[in-house]
Amino acid sequence: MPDPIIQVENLERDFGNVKAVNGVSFEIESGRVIGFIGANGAGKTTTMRMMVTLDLPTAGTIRIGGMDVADRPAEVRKRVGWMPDAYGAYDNMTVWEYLDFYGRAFGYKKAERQRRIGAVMEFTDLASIADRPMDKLSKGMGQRLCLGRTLIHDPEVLVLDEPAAGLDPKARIEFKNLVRLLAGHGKTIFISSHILSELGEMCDQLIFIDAGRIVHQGTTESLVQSHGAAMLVEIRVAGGTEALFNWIAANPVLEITDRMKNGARVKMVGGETSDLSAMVRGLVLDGIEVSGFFKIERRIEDAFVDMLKLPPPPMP
Amino acid sequence: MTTTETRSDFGDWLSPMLVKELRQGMRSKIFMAAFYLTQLLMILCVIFNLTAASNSGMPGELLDFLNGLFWFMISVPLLFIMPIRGFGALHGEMKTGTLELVFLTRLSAWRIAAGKWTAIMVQTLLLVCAVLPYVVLRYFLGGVNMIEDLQSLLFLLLASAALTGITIAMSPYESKLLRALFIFGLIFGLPFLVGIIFSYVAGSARGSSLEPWPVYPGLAIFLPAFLMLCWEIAASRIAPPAENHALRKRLLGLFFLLTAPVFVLIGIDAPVASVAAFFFLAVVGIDALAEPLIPVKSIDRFFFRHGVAGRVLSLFFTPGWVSASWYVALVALLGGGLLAVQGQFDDDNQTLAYLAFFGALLFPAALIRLFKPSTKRFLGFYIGLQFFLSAVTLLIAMMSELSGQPLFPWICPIPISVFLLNLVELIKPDQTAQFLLVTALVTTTCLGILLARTLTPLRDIRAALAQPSLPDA
Repeated sequence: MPDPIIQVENLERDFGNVKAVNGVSFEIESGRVIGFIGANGAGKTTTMRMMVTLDLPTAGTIRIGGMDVADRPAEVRKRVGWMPDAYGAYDNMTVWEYLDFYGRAFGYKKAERQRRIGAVMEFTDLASIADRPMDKLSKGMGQRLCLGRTLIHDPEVLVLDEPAAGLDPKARIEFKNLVRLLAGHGKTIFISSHILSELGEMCDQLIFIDAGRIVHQGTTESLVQSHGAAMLVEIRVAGGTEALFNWIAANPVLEITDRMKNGARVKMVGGETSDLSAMVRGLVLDGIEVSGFFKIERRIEDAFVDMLKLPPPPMP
Repeated sequence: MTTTETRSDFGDWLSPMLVKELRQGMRSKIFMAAFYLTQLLMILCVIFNLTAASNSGMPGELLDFLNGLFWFMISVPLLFIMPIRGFGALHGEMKTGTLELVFLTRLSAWRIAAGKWTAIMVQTLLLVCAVLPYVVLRYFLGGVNMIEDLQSLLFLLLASAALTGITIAMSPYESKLLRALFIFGLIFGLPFLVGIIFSYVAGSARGSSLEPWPVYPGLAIFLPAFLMLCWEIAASRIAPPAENHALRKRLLGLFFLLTAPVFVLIGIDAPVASVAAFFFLAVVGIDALAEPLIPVKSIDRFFFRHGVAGRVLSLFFTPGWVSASWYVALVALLGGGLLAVQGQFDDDNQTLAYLAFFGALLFPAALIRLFKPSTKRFLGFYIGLQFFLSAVTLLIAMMSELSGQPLFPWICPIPISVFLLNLVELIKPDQTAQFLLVTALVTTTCLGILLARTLTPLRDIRAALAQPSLPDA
């Protein structure tokens, strides 16, 4: 097994009496794409900020390429690229000038700097807006620019915090493609996102964090399979959903995972496929006007909800 | 690849921060407005001067007024508008989160702070250059001494550099009160500052002021050191915890202390040199005592690698209020030694000033560490306490003056009060011994409290360092 490029061991971070990160440990091999998932306040950003030397652990260690982030921050910074959830635009500065500034800040002289800026602009498709002021960029363009800035020193490890947050679907697909390309170039990518389905598609491995602790680590498939062997069905009804919700509530093996306008997604715990026909029969016999009944594959979101034991969302 | 491409451009010789700041700053509305406004006002001044020159019957008062107006127009952008820009230099970037992205590059916090200052100063210099033609024009219109004018312009520029340094140092602090106080002070202090500059320039030209030769070396040594201190203060507030800025700041403090005797040797009065040195020491001391304690093993290890000497130095030069308390004790000892060598302790008032100075420095710090040890708003409390105690002093002094009652003994346990009263020579000679005794007692107690509070954190740091850690790859 190759040496892990990221090693996190018993990591802790306290803010006063609050334990934002509590005993987090994981190892990541070089060239992998890792999804880091957790609810707001779970400790994702705190962990990532410590990984990129922007914060110090209260206890525990983080090593990037074998170097302790607390003891050798300068060396670690050469090897990591950090993309926060919100990029701060500078006033009175164009896209090209922004990248040029970071090229200078990384110590590249003219020719090398221009080569790197050119490569980054081509990769992130920014060349056409090189002279546009930064504060006139759309969110998608801004995120691409932010990624470009992250790549200017060609780091081995990319730590991306909610990079797709606030992007429209087109920009999100473009961004996903960029991440795929980077993974193709052998970068180790550590990415957090709220869009779990996208992470499932992009990542080799997923790490779930809740209340500062790692609650699961594994592939998307293992995650979907491991958390409950329950079957999921989507039931649609004509008319009101009240009767359907009451019927499900009265059935101890059923649990609503998602309430919809015209139905619900339901988890059947410990059920067999043969039980599905009995369920449809029961619904019809109890006078519920079923307009659709589908067995569905478990999504990563369902596994996430199971794992965190979140209550079902309120009715839309 | 052509030869031109491989060569560095001019900008490569400059700090990246400076290039960025100049790109942004030269397009900023404030700079453009200040530039155009100065040009407009200069043109108006020259028109007035032209009118005055063509009218031989113009009274002398009006000519003086026009001269004053000319310098006022220059002083406002140089000493007010441009330095005030320093406030937003780091705070704005901290708020938008852009600053921490810069930390991940090769730029250190110090280079960022210095780059910000340099960029503002380059723009200030541009304003000065734009004013130069008008200075020359005034000379041709007659009635002015161009050497004096250029000297005044140089001093205004140096004052602008110092003020910009202060605003850059204050820039990472969020406190609006602190900024308001500075602006308030600047508005009221500006006429005095300009007055001092012009009376010095006029006086030195007529041979009635301080000799220029101690003033210029004094400025050449103190101003760069002061600016470095300002950048270090700013840098230490924005830098990641793994960077040790306490070392350089505190070394600068020692530099100010140890250069005071040198200035005495070159002809500056010993009390003047001591006051200057102790003023800078107060800045270093307050800043150090306000530092939060974030133990960073790599910083401690750096010192501990150098044996016993390293361990001793770590007691004074690692970041945080713990070592700051020991550092203040050290400079109090060194400062006392220097003053004793100069024979300044022969005078009881000088001894009282020395004791009250360190007492005033330590008194609020000891109170805060005693009653609010885990506060994150140390500086706010510290400044608040000092202001409160100064206000109390003022009130009691006024009451004493009005009632004719000797109320001073009631405030002798408050070192800042003793320091201020001693400064304005309101302590009567028969009260000096009493004040000396109480101030010595209070100062020693404050120092004792602070040093006692450091023992537990010091033990924790040593215990943490004793834990085995994995070697780096």
